[in-house]
Amino acid sequence: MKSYALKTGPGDVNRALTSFLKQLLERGVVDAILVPRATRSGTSVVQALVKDPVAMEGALPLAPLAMQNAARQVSSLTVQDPGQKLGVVLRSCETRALVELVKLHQATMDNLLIIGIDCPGTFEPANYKKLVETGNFDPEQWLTRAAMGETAVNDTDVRAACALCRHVTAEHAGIHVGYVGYVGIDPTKELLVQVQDEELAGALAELGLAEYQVHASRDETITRIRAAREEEYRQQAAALAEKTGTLAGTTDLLAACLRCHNCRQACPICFCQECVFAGPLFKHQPGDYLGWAQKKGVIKMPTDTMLFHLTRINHMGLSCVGCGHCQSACPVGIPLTVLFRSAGQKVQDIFGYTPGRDVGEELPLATYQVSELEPR
Amino acid sequence: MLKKSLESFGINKDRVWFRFISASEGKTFAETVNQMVQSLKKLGPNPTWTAWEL
Amino acid sequence: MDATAQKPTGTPQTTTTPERAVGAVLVVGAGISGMQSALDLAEAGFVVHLVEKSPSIAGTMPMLDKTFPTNDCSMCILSPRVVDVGSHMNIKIHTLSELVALSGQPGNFTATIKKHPRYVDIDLCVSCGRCETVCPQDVPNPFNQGLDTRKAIYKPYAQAFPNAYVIDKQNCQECGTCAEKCPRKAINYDMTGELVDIPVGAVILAPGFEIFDASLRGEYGYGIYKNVVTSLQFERMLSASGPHQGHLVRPSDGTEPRKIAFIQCVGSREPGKERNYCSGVCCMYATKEAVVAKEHVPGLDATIFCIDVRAFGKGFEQYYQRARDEYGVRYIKCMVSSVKELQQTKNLVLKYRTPNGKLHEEQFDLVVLSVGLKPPAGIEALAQTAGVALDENGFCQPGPEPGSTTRPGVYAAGAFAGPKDIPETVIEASAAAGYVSSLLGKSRYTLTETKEPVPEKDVSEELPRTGVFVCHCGINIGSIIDVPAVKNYAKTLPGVVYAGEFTFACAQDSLETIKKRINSQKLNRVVVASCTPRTHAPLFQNALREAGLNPYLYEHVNIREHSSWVHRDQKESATAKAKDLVRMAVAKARLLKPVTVTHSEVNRNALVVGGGAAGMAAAMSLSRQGFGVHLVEKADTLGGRLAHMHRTITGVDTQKLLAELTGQVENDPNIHIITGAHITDVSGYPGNYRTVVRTRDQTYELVHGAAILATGAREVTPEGYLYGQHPGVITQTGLEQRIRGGNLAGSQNIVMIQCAGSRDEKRPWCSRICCSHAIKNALLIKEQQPDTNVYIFYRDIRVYGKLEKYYTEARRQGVIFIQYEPEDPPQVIDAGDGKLAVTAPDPTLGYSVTIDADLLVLSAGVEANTDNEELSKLFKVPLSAEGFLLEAHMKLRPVDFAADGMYLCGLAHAPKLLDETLVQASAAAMRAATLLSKERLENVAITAYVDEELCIGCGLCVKACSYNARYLEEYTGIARVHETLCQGCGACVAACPSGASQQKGYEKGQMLAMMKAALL
Repeated sequence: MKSYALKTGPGDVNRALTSFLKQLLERGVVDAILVPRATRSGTSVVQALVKDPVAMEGALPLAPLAMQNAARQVSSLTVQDPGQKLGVVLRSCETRALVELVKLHQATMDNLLIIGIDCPGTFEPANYKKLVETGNFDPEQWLTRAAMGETAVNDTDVRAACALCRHVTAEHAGIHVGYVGYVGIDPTKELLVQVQDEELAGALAELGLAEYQVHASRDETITRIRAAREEEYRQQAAALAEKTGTLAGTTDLLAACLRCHNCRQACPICFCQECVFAGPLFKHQPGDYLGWAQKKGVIKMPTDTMLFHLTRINHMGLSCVGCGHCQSACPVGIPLTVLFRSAGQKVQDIFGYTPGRDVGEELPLATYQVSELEPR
Repeated sequence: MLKKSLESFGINKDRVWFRFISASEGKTFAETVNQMVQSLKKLGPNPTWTAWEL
Repeated sequence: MDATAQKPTGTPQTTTTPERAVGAVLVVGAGISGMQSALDLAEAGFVVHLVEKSPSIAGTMPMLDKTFPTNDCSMCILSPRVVDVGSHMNIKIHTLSELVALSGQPGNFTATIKKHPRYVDIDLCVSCGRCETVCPQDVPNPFNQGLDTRKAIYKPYAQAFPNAYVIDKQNCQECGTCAEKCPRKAINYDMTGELVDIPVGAVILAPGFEIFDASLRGEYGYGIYKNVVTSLQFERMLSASGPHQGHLVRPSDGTEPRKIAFIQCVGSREPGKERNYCSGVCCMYATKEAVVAKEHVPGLDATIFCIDVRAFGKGFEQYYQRARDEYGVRYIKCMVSSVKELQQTKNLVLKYRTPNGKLHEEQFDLVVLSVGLKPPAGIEALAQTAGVALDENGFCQPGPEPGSTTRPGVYAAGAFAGPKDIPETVIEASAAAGYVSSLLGKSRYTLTETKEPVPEKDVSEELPRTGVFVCHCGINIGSIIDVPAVKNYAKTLPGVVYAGEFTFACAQDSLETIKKRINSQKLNRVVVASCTPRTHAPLFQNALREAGLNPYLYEHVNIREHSSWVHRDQKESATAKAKDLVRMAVAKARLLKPVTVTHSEVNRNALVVGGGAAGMAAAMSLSRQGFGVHLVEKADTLGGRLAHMHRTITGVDTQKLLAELTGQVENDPNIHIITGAHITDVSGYPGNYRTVVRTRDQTYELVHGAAILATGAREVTPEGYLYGQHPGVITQTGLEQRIRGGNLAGSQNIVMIQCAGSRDEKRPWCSRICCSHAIKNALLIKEQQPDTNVYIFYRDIRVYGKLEKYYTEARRQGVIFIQYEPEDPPQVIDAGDGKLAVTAPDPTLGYSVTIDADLLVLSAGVEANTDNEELSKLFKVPLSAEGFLLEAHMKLRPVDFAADGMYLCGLAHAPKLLDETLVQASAAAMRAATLLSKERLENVAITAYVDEELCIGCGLCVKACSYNARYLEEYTGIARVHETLCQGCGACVAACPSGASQQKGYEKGQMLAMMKAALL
């Protein structure tokens, strides 16, 4: 791996990175780039597929906003060989989800250059919008502070899932752009660009990037952020486990669920064409509902909410990367992040499986080992 | 796996039993079912039967 | 003894197929052997008359608890096969029958069968068991080996086929109670036997074996001491269906034994007593019984007293190692001289001399005598009737070809041809069928019957009209469950337009009634609530078919096993449960859809991969049976390992055989030979494969209906013992070449070391053939140079079956056998002058011996070819851990792969001797013929299907499928099902998260409807 410095100037961080990406396009390192781009009002940032280098203007690759897990978009672009070399700017939760989707034949990484970025967290879309609208958000200032792990602006912090996330750097990146942990060096002066393979390194050298010695403070900061968040997760998971320890607790937690299926729509792993819960199987006969009401005296409508979540954890729990987009999408505020991440963790532990770790690692349910027959 | 998931949702994992019993082991099957019935009786009725907001 | 008295040529002589042969075959004996032959022949277009002396088919195997080396439950793997035989339209079963005369020629025999009376009308008996409960007469139960009793009217065991009672006339008092109580009036004491003449084209004799009468070995006290039992009794004691429901207890006091001794070779390997053969199965069954006993009683001490441990079959050595090292079964290599009972405890004291010569006495709670197999009683009469000769032990005297007898057109299989275990029996049975099919090939489908299908009504536009039929099963259901109440309840369920009840729903008149009701009530769904669907659902489905309804518009409810039997003491709850079960079935039935069986065409050529003995023999058999063959060989010439051989232990001249086989194959217009060939691609499905074969200058695309893999194996290149470093160290193959060349002069002392490349950490299997090879070569040396000394260092001498006599002969001729332990193998040093010194401890002498050897011959063993992995990927067939090709089932499907249309034989399967290879080749060819002879293949009906709109192509179903029946379509990425390969197991359905994968007849909506109904 080779490290380079990408010079930036004040008010120029995103632009410096954008022009770097533009050069990748111009030089044909990639044929198209998927990158976050600001909407006209600037209050949102959405995924954009850029073919024309000129259109790279306006991209905001480092904006702390992810409206959805971009792995879904990469899936749309690569489920069949796109025939072109694609660059995709992704954060950790997105690369890890992508790895799972590759295993599920929903994406390919053959013609893909992952441009990973450091991500200390992203805001809830509504909060981001408010921060921009009220003029309380200075992107450069936020990057400088986020580089040290301070992600909150006034009282508004990043999404719940991000505040518990241990993955600051993005895995599986061919090129990785970092800024976290630069003690004494302002990310508004330079960004760290790291490259995995030699050929790419050659291409970057042509762009005039200077080789660079990574400062030890980067690792220290990342380790510190990670430890703090791990601890936070442990506490929240323990608190939740107390509640979900009983059926009454879990029922209470899920009581408001409308089965709107937003969580499954937002989940990068839920890859089904149509959820089994959206199909005819769970459209019961009117008499069924009345029969159940007769039996219990009263039932909640819509029915099968608990079963829906149980089924979802069974279907995607092994691959859950903890991105928390389910919770962001929930209109009634169910704390799905910790519920799914911790439940997912339990089933992943059975197989010693870590989702998103390695494309070569088989999905546990697609393989069989004799040892799995042993009672546990 | 199912047991872990159920546990995460506050459903007693001992309400689900997995045993490998070959077709020849009728006796083991009967014994296992009896054990399961005993143990379920001890656990009492499944609370999902009374919870209305599932 | 004369090793070459019988000069078998090893390969079937070119038999001219009679033009007007009878397309029917007589199979005598309906054990596992006879059943296999019958099924193979019936599937290949012949009518089979299966004649069985006893009241039920299936032979000895139902008595076994579990089977080695997989520990499968014997009955579980067997009963589907029994059902197949029993329900086959072209297998005519004659129980309680004997062959009494056989006249005529190959192709045109007349067999006279004497059918003894059963005293119970099979057509009327529904096996309700009422007769048995009222019969006053107890008789020792032979099925449980006399450990308990049965009645004079009885069914041999629960799963027995025909599923009907029989009267044991010798023990029957004819009191009339059973006849009076029989609700079907099926019992008639005055039935008489009859003689029937049946024209058949060929005969297969498979009368099986019986166990040695252990009381003849008086020193072991069988029949005197209660706690001395035979291995077959012990098998019943272990069995869950046995006299103690699988609780292992001593006969004397019903206590659990803590220490068991097995004594081997009781009735085997007795040179002086006309039992100079090895029964071939006892070492393994004793090992299995010891392991299973240890699983029954934790901490049990099991000791096996044996001469050698003959674990020579596929996977056997590893099984033995596990028994010894993991289960702690103790093996002591010595014979027990006496067994004495202690009066108080009824424990037994065994006196034995250990290998180092010390005399020991040891107490055991229970002694199991590993009794050998012997020809069954009455075999002389059968042999005389059939006109075949017996050998000195009373087994079948082999004819000039493998599987043949001394009478042309009459073949032998199974233990009758010599003692053997189940897989070899199955192989021989298929092989015998193969010889018959070659002989009668032109008469295929001349006598077989087919049923004209009744045109099916289209009910897709109709609302569900369900008919429910509830069965009393005599008193089995009716005495516990209130059947009329269940019937009336069924009438109230949604969609039910008719409900009825029967005393016996399965009786022929009841089935007729069901058909009538389907028409009169315009039923388009049928539910029967009775006993087990396993045996009975097909009966009712057939009634639907005959009434013009699709048989999958049927749902079966088991209210006997699932309710009346298990809730005997709670009549009301049992009735309530029966209602629940019926409600669930009715809910599912409403949603049932017709399932159409699809068919695929069959290409009548086979691909045979490998041009060695196995491949050539398989090709010849297929050609004789009337099929085309593509014979593909990697090398530039045919012959394989056969080219390196000289003579077999039984005296076959292998070079002559090679020349004959090669000549036959090369001159056969049905056989297309490609040598120097390399397979690059295989695609397709049973009946229609496409294989791409490349040679140096050509590419072929072969289309074939079936494939036989006969790719052989290779001799291990030994490590150690100065092999490759000293010119005097060679392998058995090298020795064989020297013997052939007469190049042994000057070798005064020849030493052989066995297991030099087998049974070690690197190659944990036994190579099976080395002991026979060593003894054969030793005998050949003695023949050429009687004064040469031959020393054989061995671990266990593993010659088996009829080969035991060659071991005896070798010892008689002065070949010296010295046993060694793997921890202390012989040491070899270069002694100069071209000589070697071989030193090893001699356990009988108690000190080391050193032999100055002129020649050291290593029995190097057999290992799998390295290109098996490539083969396995191309043909999508599995390999064993040892790298050999892995068959579908070790016991009952030894030449099939799990995927239909693929078969295997020869060394590629496992190490084996040449004659065994030739037999297996015929078996593989026969199995392939059962497929190739069909006009079209009927696919499994309840296959999986994919809802294309829901499928997103994640591939989980592809990974979950064990039958290669799933694939992702290249262009759309959507999952598809190969109808021809799908076995309807449902694994893909479980794997699919979106509900796109469904199984016909078990659709998610149907199952959910059942569950909803259950929770109502």
